[in-house]
Amino acid sequence: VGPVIGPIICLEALTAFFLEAGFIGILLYGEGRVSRKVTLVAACLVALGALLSTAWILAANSWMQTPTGYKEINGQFQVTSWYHVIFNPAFVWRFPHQVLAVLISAAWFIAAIGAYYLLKHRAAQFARKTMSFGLLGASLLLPLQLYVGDSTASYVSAVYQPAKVTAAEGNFNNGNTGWNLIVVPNQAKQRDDFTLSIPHAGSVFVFHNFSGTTPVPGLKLFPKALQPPVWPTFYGFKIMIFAAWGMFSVAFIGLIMRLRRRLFTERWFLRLVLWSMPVGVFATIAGWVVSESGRQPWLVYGKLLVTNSPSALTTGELIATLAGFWVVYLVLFGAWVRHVAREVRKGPDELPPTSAETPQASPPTPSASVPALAPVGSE
Amino acid sequence: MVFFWMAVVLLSLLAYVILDGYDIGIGTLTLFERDAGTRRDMLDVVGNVWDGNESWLILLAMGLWAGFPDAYAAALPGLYLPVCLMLCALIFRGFAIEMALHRPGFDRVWGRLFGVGSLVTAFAQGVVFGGLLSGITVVDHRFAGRPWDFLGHGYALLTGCAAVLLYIWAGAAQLQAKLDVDKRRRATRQVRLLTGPVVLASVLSACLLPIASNGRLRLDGVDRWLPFGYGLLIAIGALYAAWRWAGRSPKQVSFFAAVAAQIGGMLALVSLYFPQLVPPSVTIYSAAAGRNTLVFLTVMIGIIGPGTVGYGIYAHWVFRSAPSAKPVTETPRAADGRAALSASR
Repeated sequence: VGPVIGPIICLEALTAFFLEAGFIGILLYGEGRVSRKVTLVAACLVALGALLSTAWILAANSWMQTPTGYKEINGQFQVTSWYHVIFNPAFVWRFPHQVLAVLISAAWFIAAIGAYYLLKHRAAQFARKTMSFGLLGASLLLPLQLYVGDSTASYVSAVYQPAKVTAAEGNFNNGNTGWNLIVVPNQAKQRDDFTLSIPHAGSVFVFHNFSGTTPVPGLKLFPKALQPPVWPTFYGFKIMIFAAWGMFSVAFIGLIMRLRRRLFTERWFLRLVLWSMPVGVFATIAGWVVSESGRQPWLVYGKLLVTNSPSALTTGELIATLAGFWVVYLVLFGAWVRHVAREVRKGPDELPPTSAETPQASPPTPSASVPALAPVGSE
Repeated sequence: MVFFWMAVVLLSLLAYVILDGYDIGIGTLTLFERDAGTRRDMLDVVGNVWDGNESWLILLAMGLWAGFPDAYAAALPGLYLPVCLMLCALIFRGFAIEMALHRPGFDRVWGRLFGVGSLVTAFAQGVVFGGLLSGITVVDHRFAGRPWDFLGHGYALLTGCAAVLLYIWAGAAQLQAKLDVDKRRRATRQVRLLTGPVVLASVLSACLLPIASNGRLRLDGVDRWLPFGYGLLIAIGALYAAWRWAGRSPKQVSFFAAVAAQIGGMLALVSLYFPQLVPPSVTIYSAAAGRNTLVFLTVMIGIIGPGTVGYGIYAHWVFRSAPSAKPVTETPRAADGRAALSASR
């Protein structure tokens, strides 16, 4: 796998990391040292770097899902066409799917923060702008995402990884035309202990057959050793779908509210937006759970099993380091959430007429969480 | 082609040690600085550039993985524990400095954590490098040693300390060029004071290297001892120059001398070890990726590389002056807007 993935990630470092890292310093701390035009260029380049990074990472991951453009020599994957390696069948759909997912999550986050200020009757102008912008972005992107997501499932998973689709639908036997809402899978006995499903809907969703008569295939089509685990694949898929539909509905209600000019005043709606703040992130993570657990037991789909590719590390080393990374990330995540919550609570200044983009820290907040003023080193 | 790619890997290692070396060093030095204002300035010196500097580490690792997959496969399991320690410390450090920079003044908790993270990073990197130099057991293209082999009877601990000293020294040399006149004096003294220990640690590491390493160190033939000698001479001259010009004008000389010392040391090491990549058994020839991959990488780096280096230099050039020498017309930014407001009152 090294000769294929290595160069892709290397190029990511070369193109994306350096671009992002080189200009983020200028973007964040360059004010006063460079002109506004340079700051704008730096912002664009940071965004371009992030986008390139997404593209390279998804190219690498998608190649492992749908490998093309290589030949096997002595058990090593050797590239024959870099074009086909990078633009593999999964990449073409998964890249827009991922970009839309993070854009929607971010838009939702922004809208929720706007809703928070509107609920608290603070920074009204800023809050209206934020909420309106976030919801507008989400309502434009969500329909697109529903289409791209559906296409990812039908043109990539269903064609190249049928086992993933059957696991996501949660059927062991062929013949069910319903769409399972809840299943308690029993993979050892190859059956569902309990299912709750909407009749005929499975056929509509999976095959787009609106008469609802085509049965959804079951996992028994595949040998037991090559079946993905049903629990994470099924529930990851359901969480992602429901989160997407949920956000779509809220955005739709938002659109109606906007037309009725009550978007910024209807308190139950503001609360709904606020409390659904992390839903986009949940959906993204759930989607990754589907894509990664659904491709088990393959590392390179159809070619290399996970069990055939371990490193020379001992179990103890792996557990220790994994635990270490978990601890570091959890601690930092906790600190980050606290920091963001505090910054949000501190609130923006009323927007100065010159710059409308950066929320500025405001001195006269009554909040008790503001720490004592400390002098800056530079006078 | 293999040579070219080896040069890329070595240059990214060098660029990383030079660039991130000084900012890790400055990070560690914040632990020893008592004046909060100076500490804040030190954070500002690092804050603008650390992200770009650390990208070289990623390029180094990925260049190794892509260009020399067998070396990567052998070295990473062998050095797994210190590499993971280093990564954890780097993550912590990067997070801590951003948190510290987003607070006004010098944030005690995050500032301290940043210092500790920097110290651990420096030490872990020295351990990794020492572990690599002392050799990794490889049988049939795979790591065949035990998890703690990298310690090499404690040699790696020595190089760990040497790396900490070297980074602090380079950091101080950078600080004496970047800080205000009144804050510069301490950094100058640190450069002077640290030159001795840096020399001592380097000499000690170098003398113990033949005993500790099971790599094949060779100095036969003019193509080995000539670059080795040059490397040594450059390093010695540069160490003296860094000591001599610390705190004197032109103030950048000291830092560039520190850079030259690192280049000289690297040159000497490479001429000792070449062509071993992971001593003793993995060489650049046995570990290289297929020709197809190397050609692809070389073409891409030929197209992208110059631009990358170019804007890297630009980013450093933007922040070339002292952190407190910002123009007065600067609008208070989100991070310290509150403090700036209080100052203007």
